[in-house]
Amino acid sequence: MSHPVEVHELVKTYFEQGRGEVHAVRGLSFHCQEGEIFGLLGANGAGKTSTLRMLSTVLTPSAGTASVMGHDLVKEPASVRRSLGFFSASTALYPRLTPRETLDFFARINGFPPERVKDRVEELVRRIGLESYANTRVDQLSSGMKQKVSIARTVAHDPPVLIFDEPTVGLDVLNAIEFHDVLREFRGQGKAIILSTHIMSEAEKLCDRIAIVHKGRILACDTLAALRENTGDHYLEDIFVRFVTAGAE
Amino acid sequence: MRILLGHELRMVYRDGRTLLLSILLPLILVPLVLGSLSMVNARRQAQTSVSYNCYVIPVNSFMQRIFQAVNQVRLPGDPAPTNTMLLGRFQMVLKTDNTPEKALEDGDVDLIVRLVAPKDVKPDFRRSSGSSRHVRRARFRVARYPDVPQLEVVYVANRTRSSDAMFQFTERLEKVLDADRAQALRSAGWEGDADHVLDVSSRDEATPAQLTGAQMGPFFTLFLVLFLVGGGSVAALDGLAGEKERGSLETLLTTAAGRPEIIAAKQLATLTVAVVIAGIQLLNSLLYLVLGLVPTPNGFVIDATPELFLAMAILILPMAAFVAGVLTLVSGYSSSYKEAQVLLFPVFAVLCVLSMTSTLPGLTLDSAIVVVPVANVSVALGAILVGKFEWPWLILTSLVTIAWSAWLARRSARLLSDEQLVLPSLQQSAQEARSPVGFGRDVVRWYALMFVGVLLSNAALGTNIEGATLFNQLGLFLLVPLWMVRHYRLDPRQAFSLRWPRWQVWLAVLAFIPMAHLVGVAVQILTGALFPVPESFVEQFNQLLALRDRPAWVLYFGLAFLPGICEELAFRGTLLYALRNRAHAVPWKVAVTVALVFGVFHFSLFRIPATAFLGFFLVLICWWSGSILPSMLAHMGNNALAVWTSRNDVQLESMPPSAFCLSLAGMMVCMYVIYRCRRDQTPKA
Repeated sequence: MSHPVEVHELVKTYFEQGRGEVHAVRGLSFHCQEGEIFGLLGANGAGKTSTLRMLSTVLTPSAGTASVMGHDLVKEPASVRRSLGFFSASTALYPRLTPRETLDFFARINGFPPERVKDRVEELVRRIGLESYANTRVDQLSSGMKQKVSIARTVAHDPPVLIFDEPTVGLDVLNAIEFHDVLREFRGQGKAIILSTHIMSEAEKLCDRIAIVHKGRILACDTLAALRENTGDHYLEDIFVRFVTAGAE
Repeated sequence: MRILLGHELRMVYRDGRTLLLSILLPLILVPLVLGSLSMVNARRQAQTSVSYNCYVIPVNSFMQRIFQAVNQVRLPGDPAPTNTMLLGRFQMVLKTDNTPEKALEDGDVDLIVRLVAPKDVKPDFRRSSGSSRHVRRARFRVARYPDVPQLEVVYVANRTRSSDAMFQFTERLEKVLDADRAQALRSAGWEGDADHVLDVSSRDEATPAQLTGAQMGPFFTLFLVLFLVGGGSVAALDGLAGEKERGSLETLLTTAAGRPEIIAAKQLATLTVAVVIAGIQLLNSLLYLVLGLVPTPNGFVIDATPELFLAMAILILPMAAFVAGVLTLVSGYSSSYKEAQVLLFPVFAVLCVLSMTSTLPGLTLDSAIVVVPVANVSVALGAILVGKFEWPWLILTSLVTIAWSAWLARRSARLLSDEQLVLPSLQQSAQEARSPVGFGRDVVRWYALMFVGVLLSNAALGTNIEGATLFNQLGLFLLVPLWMVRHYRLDPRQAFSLRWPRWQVWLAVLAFIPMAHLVGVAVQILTGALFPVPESFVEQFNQLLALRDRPAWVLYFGLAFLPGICEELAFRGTLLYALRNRAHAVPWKVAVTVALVFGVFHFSLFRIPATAFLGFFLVLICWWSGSILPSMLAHMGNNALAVWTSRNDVQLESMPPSAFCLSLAGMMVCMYVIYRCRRDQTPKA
């Protein structure tokens, strides 16, 4: 049986002026199941964001294949995008829309049934606690509120696959904890979630399986318990350092 | 698509800048401009009743008689004499506190009228070298023989009152001289009236609507372009460049909407905004005229037939789509709002130049101009406003513009597939800003700014040819590339292709120069056939090359040596280096781009094809030989030949076609030799 997200030998090579070819992703393979939070753990520049951008079809893979809900990234990009919600620090909101208009727009543009859009928007507004701000322009909201709207925007069309790229960067502790709760709730709904982070504690708390990514390659991929058993280290930080150091050697 | 378009339009009208810049400001500005024009006209009218102070040298009976006669002349439209004019419109001033020239410059007197003794009479009208550049002299011969004096009227052209005084005085003086001639004939015994020897009459067959159309035609397209760009630019720049900067474009790209749909929606939104705003402005102007809030100019009649409206619709709507396409492309190409604004200025300038095409005399739609966007609409609108409806050509103009718009939309959609352009985060980091990487990113911006610099210097120093040449060549084409090399820490040897070529290349280039020049002349002739150029333009250009009052070395230095060095460093140096080092650079596209940029920097529309033609071969010479030195020699040689032929009245245009064909063949042989001697030119950073 195929998984909601399947990635096989994915490669991304950029050509940058003055630098030539840059190998951002070098043959990544993994899968993500329903009701699972799959973590991509790596330092800055490890290739996490490039991988997730390829999964969201913003970038085209240089080689390899991947599918989301059975749709091939290259052959059916529109179906892939319809099946997933993508959130990253660089996916901003429209400042001149209100949260309610934002959710309405993203639900409709992603093909959510029009007759159910209104109910879906109200449901999300209630769930994220945006009632008092639902008609305030986004550019007048605090960064915490914007983050909430962004998360709601990601799931506005109720996609089966969610991708979160460094979602808690810049959030205070309380907002980060609130986000973790939301993520667990999505997992409970059976969604396949890919979470990219460089925060070890976040990966420890949330991820069912973790892939340690370094220089565009996966050095290890397993459950936290299995990683602990294999390395003999307890803390994820030590496990990470062990693999990265070994990878560098 | 519908959802996207609705979303785009909502984003536009929620932007306060759009409302302010595109709707409110023009609503106020249009009546303000129209009102100002009426005020200027009214003021000019009032000037006719003003009296002018004229310093007279010498004060003698002849001059007194001239002034008395001039003051008695009544021209059509002259108001009745007022109390302030009891002494006459032109009053003689006999004494000033300063010198007469100083008094003229200070405005104490409006004219100096001087009787020049026969021995001091100069043969032609020349500007006085000893006075300010604004002080001009117009001499009027009082007789045709060399032993009679000359009446010199000195005025300052930059002062309206002085200019008006000169025109009014000389106009009346002609009448006085006519009367004097008639008197002389009568004194010699001829009884007739000189005016009755040959009765000349003229009759105007143009209708008032045609006259209005002829006045409006040349500027109508310009105003349309101003409105379309003014309205559409805010929407277009915000739609792509602004979204990239804010990061919301990436959000949109992760939705189910396809990239062609996104571009189509954005272009349609820009088009809608541009058309709506242009429509509002036109209606607004008409409303002010109809309501009489702004006085209608004398004889202003618009023949508003259905035919006119239909023709305007099939011309203006495609042009609006084209302008929207250009704006979307500029926005898509820019990585930020700021960069888009920088790029917009030269694009806007080019659009304005194209929209003024109908001011060129003799240009009609049944020429190659029909394929040039905006220029074709300009010519077509000029024609239909004077009642010429050539429907096949109008429809062709419309179709050509639609085709251009579709091509632009396709280009814009492809830009969204360019990962480097779509995701600013993929672009170079701050520490790479001052590196060859940063140079590649910024090069378009710098050349856009250089273009603006050339534009401004030509406008400011237009008549001062030496100043404009020195500023453009040394200040822009030399210093800016040198600064770029230093700022971006480029290797000068690579950025400027500084290496010694093979000896065969030198020989090939020496042979190439005269043949390429001759082929260039042929290209110029062909261009003239496709885009008819008024003789006066060509004359003007040839005069620039010939400037006989300058020493030869000045011309060869300023028009051949300096461009050969400086323009080569700018175009075959840094620009070529940046473009060929781009990711997936296609050589022929790079060569064509550099050639076109080189052509566009030479401004005159009619020179672009010939200049771009030469530029293309200079790129190939530099690229294949691996050195900028042969292209410098070729450029210098070509320009020197142009100066030499102009100074010596050599008419290359009259050479037989076989000479041009042989030159083309010879030129190709030279290029083949250079190609055979090419060196490895793998791009290096």
